[in-house]
Amino acid sequence: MILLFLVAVFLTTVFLGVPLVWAILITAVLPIFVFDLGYPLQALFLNFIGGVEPNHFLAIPLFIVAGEMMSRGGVGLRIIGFARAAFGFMAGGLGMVVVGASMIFGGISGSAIADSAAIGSVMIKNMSREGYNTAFAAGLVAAAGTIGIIIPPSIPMLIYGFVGNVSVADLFLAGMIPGIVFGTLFMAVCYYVGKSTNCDPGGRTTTFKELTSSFIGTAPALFMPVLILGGIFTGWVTPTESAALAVVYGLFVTTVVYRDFKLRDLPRLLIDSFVTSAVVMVVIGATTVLGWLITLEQMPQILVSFVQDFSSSPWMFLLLVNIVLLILGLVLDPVPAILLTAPLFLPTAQAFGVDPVHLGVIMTCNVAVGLFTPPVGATLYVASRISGVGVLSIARKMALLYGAAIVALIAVTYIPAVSMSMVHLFR
Amino acid sequence: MDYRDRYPAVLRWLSHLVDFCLALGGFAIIILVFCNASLRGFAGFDLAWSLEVTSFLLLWSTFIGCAAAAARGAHMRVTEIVENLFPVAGQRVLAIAIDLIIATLLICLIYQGYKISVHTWAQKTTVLYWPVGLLYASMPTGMALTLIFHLYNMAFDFRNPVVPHAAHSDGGEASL
Repeated sequence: MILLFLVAVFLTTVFLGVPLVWAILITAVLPIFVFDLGYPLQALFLNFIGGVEPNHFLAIPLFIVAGEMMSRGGVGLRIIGFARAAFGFMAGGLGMVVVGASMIFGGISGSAIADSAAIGSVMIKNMSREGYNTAFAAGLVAAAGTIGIIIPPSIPMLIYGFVGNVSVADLFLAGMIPGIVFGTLFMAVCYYVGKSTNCDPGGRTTTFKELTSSFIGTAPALFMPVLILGGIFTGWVTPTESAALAVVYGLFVTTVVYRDFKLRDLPRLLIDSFVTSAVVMVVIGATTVLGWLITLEQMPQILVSFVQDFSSSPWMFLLLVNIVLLILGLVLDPVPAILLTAPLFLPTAQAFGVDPVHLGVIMTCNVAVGLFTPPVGATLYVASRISGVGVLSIARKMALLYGAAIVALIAVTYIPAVSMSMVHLFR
Repeated sequence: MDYRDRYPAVLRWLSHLVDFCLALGGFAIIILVFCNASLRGFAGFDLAWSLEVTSFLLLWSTFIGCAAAAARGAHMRVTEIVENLFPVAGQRVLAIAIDLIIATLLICLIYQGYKISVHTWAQKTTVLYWPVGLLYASMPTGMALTLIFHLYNMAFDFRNPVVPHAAHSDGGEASL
């Protein structure tokens, strides 16, 4: 009963336009009075502060700063140049450049929005000029940009790891193959569209010299994910320290090597990044309050018995995870969607024998798909803003991309080896 | 919508002060975490006090960052449903009701946060012996600043009926 009440209050407040942090706090506070639960408000709000207190959360603002820094300079252009040299010869090559560049850029920024904005601002116009349908080009940018939160480093995975006490290193390892699966399927769609519509039949030639010179130009930026992941996996630095390392390295690359970022812009970048981080962090604090209430009222156990009434198979539970997150993803951004459901899904997953790392990847992939589905899809809005094409017109041209994403999602969800093989290999 | 351009001089000054604290705190966090990692990696020791200082900075930058986000209208929210389903007049009434509920919640957070801070003031942190209440004071302080910006934003929305409330929201800035 309380669980249903919580869901109803939360959805009502969110749909009415209450900012997420306050909607979650209202959802946590109301049942205390309605059901006379007797918890003191001071204990409730102590969890609000405690939710943002853990020191490892420092990684969140630091990764945001590093991603912002790399997004503001000309890193995106260099990556597009490299991807063009690598994929330009194939049918649908320009589309593949978008996907390839998004995968590489995602490994640097960890953000889907930054990914779509950086790649879309250059590529949508180029694809249109080459004969691609503009709405399809925008849809491809919106879909491919979301690979940025699947391929490590990923901010939503980092947050899931911290909130669920799951190894961030394992999550980052587990995200690699699913990111490649999504990318490969999107590239297959590009190949089909390029060939069937004859807008991009391929045949462009790239010399080895062009390929190497574009790689050398991109190498300093490409070294960033190597530094982050290498530092974490070798145990030389913690995820938080790797984020600080990424900021300092990003500053060096953009100011000294590429010279497209001015030190005088640093305060503005820090303010923007810490405001973004604060918005996410207060939502984390608020979900800690809700998570505390959910745990005290034993709601995960209620959910387990509810699902087990239908089936004791973990597949059924994973199907429920997919459905809930795909629906939530229609209206919520990845971080709040993960924060809200993780306290409920994590204990339930353990009861069904699902690895928390696998669950983290499934949840991230689901919310990634939500990022390019209307009515609320952040990368879809970015692509719409850049292309000047309406959100629904773009979505109508994305049928093949949605199909590819669903196939990838099924593979990630029901074939644990897709995400877990890298973890088992390096664990 | 970013309200800061519409603020009177005092509020604009307050917003700049909040931004200045955020930039300074952010810079200090980067330097401290980087130096600590470097010292541990190359010199074999780390700064025990840095953990407490960065915790302190994280809490304070989060809650005053919450106020900065309120000034920018940058808190994450879903506006599409109300925009498409409600008439403009209905949106205005709804916006006023939501703003009043948020103001009440903020007052509640400030009061309870103040009590938490006072109750924990006598406890000291392990290394620096700073009052724990000083860390926890970040929440009521941040919420008080948020309330100040929120009340002005609310008054602005009330005085400008031609602009539907939904258009004042943004949230894009916070997306990852």
